[in-house]
Amino acid sequence: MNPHYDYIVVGTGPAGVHAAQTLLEAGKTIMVMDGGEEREDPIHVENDFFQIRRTDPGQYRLFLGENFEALNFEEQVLQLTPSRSYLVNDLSEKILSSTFNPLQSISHGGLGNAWGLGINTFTAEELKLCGLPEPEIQDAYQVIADRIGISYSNDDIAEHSTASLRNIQPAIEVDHNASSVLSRYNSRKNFFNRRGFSLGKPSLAILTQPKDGRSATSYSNLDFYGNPGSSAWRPDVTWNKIRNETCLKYLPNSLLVKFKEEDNNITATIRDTKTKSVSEISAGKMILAANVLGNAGIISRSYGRKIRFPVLCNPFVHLPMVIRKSKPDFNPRTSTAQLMMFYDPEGTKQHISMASLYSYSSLLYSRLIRQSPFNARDSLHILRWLGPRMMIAGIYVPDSYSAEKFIEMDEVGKATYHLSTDETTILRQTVKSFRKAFDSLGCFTLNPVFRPHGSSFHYGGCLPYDKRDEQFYLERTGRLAGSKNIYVADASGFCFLPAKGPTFTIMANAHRTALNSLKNE
Amino acid sequence: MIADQIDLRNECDILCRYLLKEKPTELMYALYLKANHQLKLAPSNREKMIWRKCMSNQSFLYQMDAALPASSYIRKKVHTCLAIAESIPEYSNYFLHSDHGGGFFTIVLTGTKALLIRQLGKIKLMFM
Repeated sequence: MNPHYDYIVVGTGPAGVHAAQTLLEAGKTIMVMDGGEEREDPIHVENDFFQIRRTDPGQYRLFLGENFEALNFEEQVLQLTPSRSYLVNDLSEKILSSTFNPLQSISHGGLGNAWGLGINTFTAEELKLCGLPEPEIQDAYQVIADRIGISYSNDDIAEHSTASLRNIQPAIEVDHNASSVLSRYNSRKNFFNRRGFSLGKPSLAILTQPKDGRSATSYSNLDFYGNPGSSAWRPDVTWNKIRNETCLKYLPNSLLVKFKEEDNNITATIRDTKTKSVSEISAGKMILAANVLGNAGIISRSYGRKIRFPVLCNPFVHLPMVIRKSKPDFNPRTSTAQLMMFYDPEGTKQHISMASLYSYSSLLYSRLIRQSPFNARDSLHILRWLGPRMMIAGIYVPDSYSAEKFIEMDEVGKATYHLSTDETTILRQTVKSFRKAFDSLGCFTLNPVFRPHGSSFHYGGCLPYDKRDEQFYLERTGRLAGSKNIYVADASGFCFLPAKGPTFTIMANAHRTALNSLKNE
Repeated sequence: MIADQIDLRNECDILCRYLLKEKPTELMYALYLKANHQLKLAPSNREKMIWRKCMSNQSFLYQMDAALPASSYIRKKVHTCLAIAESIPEYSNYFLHSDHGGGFFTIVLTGTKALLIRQLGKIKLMFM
């Protein structure tokens, strides 16, 4: 006899853990599953990045990997540090496409472990375009903020980040590059505001004061290698809080192959990723939080046919630049974004573009030299001077539906993703505008690198909210149309993908969706 | 196996001197050996021939490192050595200090020289 639960929650990423927490708070019994297993945080060192670099003979394990994973010369893995490279291992369903190159993960915590920790709230206009109900999401934003802990500065970009939230901690201390850019911006604020730009310290899911047994950031520059003191919110922070609840059962190494719904019962067929054995469990309701691409695969298999899903993914450009008046120091900071810039040229609060500015301060230069057009020796010579003065802006633009953006999940996933001529023009103009703004801020911008489609990690839209002309869609509550008790809690329903990182809104939406599922008793 | 290790130590020695003008430390040798066994990089026949020449002539290595694509066997070898050197504490000053006696002007000169070396390497490659 299969055990019966009130709920099955599929996925332990940012959406899965928050949906699970909301259900547990309501006293429900839940089975949580993912395709990976719990891991210990690999970082147990007291030193910061620079101290490790100068003193630790075993540092190659951290920076290159015990088995030199960082040297495997594959582009996709290059984006992750070695301690995070497990995220893309063991994928049984990879999307093969020459035009769409997504990062997928079935690991415990999923892509939430590679998240840049940026916290942005969507404007009322953006929420409307996404198909999300504003009052419910605004309430959910506060619930999630209280759970995870957020730091921010009430500056020019507050309206794009967390101005409406309470109980927020002070912003992080930024580094020498960011200080230089910020002081220049503050001296010419009106000039930039008139052109639609606003710049400020980022809102981050990182603590600057202790909270709930977690430490304030130690400014170790190791945020993308581990999580010392759990100062950054990663899915494991919430997971460790709920995992010992008696009403929660965790099923590791388990992929949801398909589901079947009959009356008030859902039967889930699960495959063990290690033994490949197949089993079934049942529950009254199910919440899918397996990421947009994962959900598409589950639904395709469950309906037994190839379905063409629309897909959204923010186009993404790297813009390297040198800060002219920067005075380099090697004081460790956080390796998260140091500044964020928003660009709303029309002032409509709908089609806002965003740039996150990172200093190149917590990665090895050899990663960068690998892509250099020069030889390694001269590249190193140049980078020793440029590196500490260098920032990289990740520029994101919003994404909307078109017939040229879709995925088909069969045994092998296929995808097509093309920007229209208009979209390409807007992207190029946006990058040009950012370059002009950065030049005015005392930055010497280098050539932009247009990243492959799919590499922004921001996905959405395969099961749009309330698009009744679509075959597969979600009701506003998050329920899968045509089902009684199946809900989708991540960004699968977003009909529009704002340029701002969607993770905070995904978490809020997971909480809202779980609440809606509870109302439907 | 022993001959293979001697070859790799020799390679490590040449690459380390090329990149940092330093003799490798024992840790550097050990990690270079381990990484090569792990990565199992395989050259084509043409790459083998170029690699042999690189190992006997440092200025040729300099030119090939500039002229070949990043996906080539030779550049992967150089990058493997560079990445390992970067994770050795004794060499941290080569990577963590921005003040090395030159300013922006020196950087522009180095970039110009690197471009010329690249072109020279490309011309040599056309005849190989």
